[in-house]
Amino acid sequence: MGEKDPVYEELVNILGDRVSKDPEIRWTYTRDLEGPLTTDLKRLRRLPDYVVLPETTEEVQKIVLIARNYKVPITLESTRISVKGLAVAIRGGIFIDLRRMNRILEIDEENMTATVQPGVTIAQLSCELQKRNMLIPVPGTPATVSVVSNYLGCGWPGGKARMLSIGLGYRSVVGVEMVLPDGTILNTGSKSDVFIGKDFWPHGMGPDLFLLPYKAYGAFGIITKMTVKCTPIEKELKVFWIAYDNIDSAMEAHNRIVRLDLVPNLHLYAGDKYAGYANDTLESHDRMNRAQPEFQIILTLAGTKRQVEYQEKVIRKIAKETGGRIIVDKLPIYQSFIDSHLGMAGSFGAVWSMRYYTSRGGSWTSTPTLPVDKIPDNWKAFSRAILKDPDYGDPNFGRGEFWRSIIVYPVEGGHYVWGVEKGVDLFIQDPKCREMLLRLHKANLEEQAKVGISDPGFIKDWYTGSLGKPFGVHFEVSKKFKKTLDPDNVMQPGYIYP
Amino acid sequence: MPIEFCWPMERRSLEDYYEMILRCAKCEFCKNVFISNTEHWQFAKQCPPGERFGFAAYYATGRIEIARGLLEGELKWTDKLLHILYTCTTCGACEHWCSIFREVYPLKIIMEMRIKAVKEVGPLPAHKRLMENIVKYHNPYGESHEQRFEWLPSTVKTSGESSLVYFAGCSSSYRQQQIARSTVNILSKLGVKFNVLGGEEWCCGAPLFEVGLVDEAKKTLEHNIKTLNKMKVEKVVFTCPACMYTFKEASKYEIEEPKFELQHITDFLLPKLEKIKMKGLNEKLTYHDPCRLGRGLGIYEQPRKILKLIPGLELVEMPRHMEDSWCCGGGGGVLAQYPDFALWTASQRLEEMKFVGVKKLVTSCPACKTTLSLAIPPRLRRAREIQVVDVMELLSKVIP
Repeated sequence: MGEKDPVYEELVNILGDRVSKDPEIRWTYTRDLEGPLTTDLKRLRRLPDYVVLPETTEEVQKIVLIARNYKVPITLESTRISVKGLAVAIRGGIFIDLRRMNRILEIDEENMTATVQPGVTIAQLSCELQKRNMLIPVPGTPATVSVVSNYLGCGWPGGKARMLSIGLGYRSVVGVEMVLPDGTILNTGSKSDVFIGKDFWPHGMGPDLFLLPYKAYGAFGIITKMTVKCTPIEKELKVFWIAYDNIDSAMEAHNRIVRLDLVPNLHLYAGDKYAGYANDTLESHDRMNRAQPEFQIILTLAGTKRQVEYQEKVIRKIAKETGGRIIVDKLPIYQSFIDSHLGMAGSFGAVWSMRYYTSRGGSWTSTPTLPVDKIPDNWKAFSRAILKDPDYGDPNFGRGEFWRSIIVYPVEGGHYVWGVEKGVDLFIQDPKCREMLLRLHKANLEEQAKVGISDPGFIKDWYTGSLGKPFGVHFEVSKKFKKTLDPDNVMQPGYIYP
Repeated sequence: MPIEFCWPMERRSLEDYYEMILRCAKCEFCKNVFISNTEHWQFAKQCPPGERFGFAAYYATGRIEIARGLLEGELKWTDKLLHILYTCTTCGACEHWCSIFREVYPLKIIMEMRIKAVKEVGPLPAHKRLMENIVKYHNPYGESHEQRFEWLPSTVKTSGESSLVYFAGCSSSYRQQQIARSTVNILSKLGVKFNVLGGEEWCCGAPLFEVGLVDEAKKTLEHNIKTLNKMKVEKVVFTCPACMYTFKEASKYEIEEPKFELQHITDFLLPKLEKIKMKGLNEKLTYHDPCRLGRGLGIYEQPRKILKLIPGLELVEMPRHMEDSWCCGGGGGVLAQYPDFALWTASQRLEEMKFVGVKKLVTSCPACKTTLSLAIPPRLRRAREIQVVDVMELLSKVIP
């Protein structure tokens, strides 16, 4: 007879066969995309003690109460596509796999909102919305990712559709239902108003708790329901690319276009961003790199036919005045931007994002959010970091597989740029390349610091303090919130709150 | 060249796949139909065991992690692990998409795990019975080998001099004899001279290869290949996609390779049928792509073209079709070892058939027909309200 396991027994009482403590089942929750990105697999190699598959908010609530009662840590995942090791139970405990909470609860066509459970993917919701001629703006993420975690986490860099006009994912959230660490069910947004009780306005009663779960990675509770804004699909769409030979001209065009508030979407890509998407060998990768312009502005023109014609006319004028060349191309990758604008459900971009992120392509270092005027400095700092590295060498004429790249995403009217992604193309399966990446990451942070840009880069380094940086008052205050809501630190321990 | 950049066929054991296993990014594209083909989310899932059992371990991504656990010495063979491993129907949907997106080849990793499982802990009970039956009776059902060709109608004449052989396979010989009978009738009506192997036709080995019993499988496959090579045949046609797939894969196993062309019956008949006028058939039906025929052999269009040649016949596609097809549930030794789960999988397919408003499903695989037929609720089966038939059965009615 084995020892009694009251946690397991209580979980089984609630969930029946949707709970497991078999080592084979638990083992499969020990790795996410983190694996190929770092050599740190062993640090993460901790099995959860139990894996559970809840289907309702009430079940989640009961699981949380068991965890609180027995002081057992909880780790969460929705659709298992965490890129930063956040869905690994590094302290053991209960692993809540939310993939069975995969119902679209409501699509309110009149108010243009959709309410989903956390296991609903971008593809799933987009598929239903497109039947109603609507979409959700989603970033450059695989369509298999959860809408909820994508809108509330910040783990996945990128963003294509409507980043400029609407902004980051959280801007589309109208309200959430959340199970707090003490089992309380909290509604944010207008649903928190007991007289209204409907999701249509994100801020609801004051003080506003709208952003409590944002970037908290489950530390403040588990979202069991989210209502998001949907937008109508425009009649006319066109993707437009302008090529530049230097970042200053590209930035001039970038600034002029965003200040006109002309198009829903604009990105500035530098370097060899696309080679990784489309090539499987170093040789073809290198060939494509050399054929690509150094800097590219990618725009999505959208609206009525007349609106798109007007947008094109203005952009052609700006391109001419800033020395840009209009690229006309029929490569599938260009089509991906149209697809992504349509909600990602049919996106080459979604597929290729994943390929690029880990396959034969690039890997990223620091991705700070910056004011617009800092972008050229940021690029130059990165270039210096590459230049002084003996293995990377000359970024333009050195080894093709280590070409630098950068992506700039202007957000919400272009007042700032989010996630200035910087990376190099290397074969991350090669341990030497992993070493090089970590070395470059460190050099890049040093160079950035010299021009007043601070960004710790990898999320786990950031929160676990492995970079040795003090976190400041902001973090200390948030720790007080955490202590109040979750005195035993059972929710997602070991990432933000050690 | 380092192993991680090798084509998967170069890898010879589970150990060789370790770097590839680490490459899995958990992107989850292996679980769903191709995203841009998704029209109905309720029919967008593609991994039967994952959908049935829920935990990550039952999807391709989880099985890959199990392989990592075995290789790193963190996991041992247990009943649960074998359940996870052998509830895979080997439908190949995960492999198909991953070969495009991430090049991880989950099915090859699963097959290597099965080979390792058999070597280290032996086959599961039902699979052991299959093996014993095939060794003793040359068919997985334990039926008399002498009765293998009892289905062959006396009215049909085979030609010993023909360079074309029809390889009927075990399912059509013992369980779905109407498919074999229809096939030879069609060949006769079209004036095609053909031969059969008679007592020299043994099980192709597919049921054994699929569960990791490779050594036993190779023997029975090689017997068939050697016999056919000796007969100097030029072409062998198959009604069973699994048989054809197994012959096609022979070169992987260091045995005598076929010196003849392999062709599925739908591919073989299509050009002949295009030249004749068939009788009308006023029916609305849907087509189920067998996994081995579609994702395995790339034959999607031929059966559809054949059906479209039949006057009056209306072909309605289910949401999951062609590369996106949902498995019947019977493959990979699942029907033998876990019949309840196999029938659950098949019942999902029948639901999809109902969703498109059709009562008749056509396929071109005797094993799919068996599994899907078994999943029809008895009352509906008796009333013939839902029917599952093979393309050959349908054709035999309309070829004059």
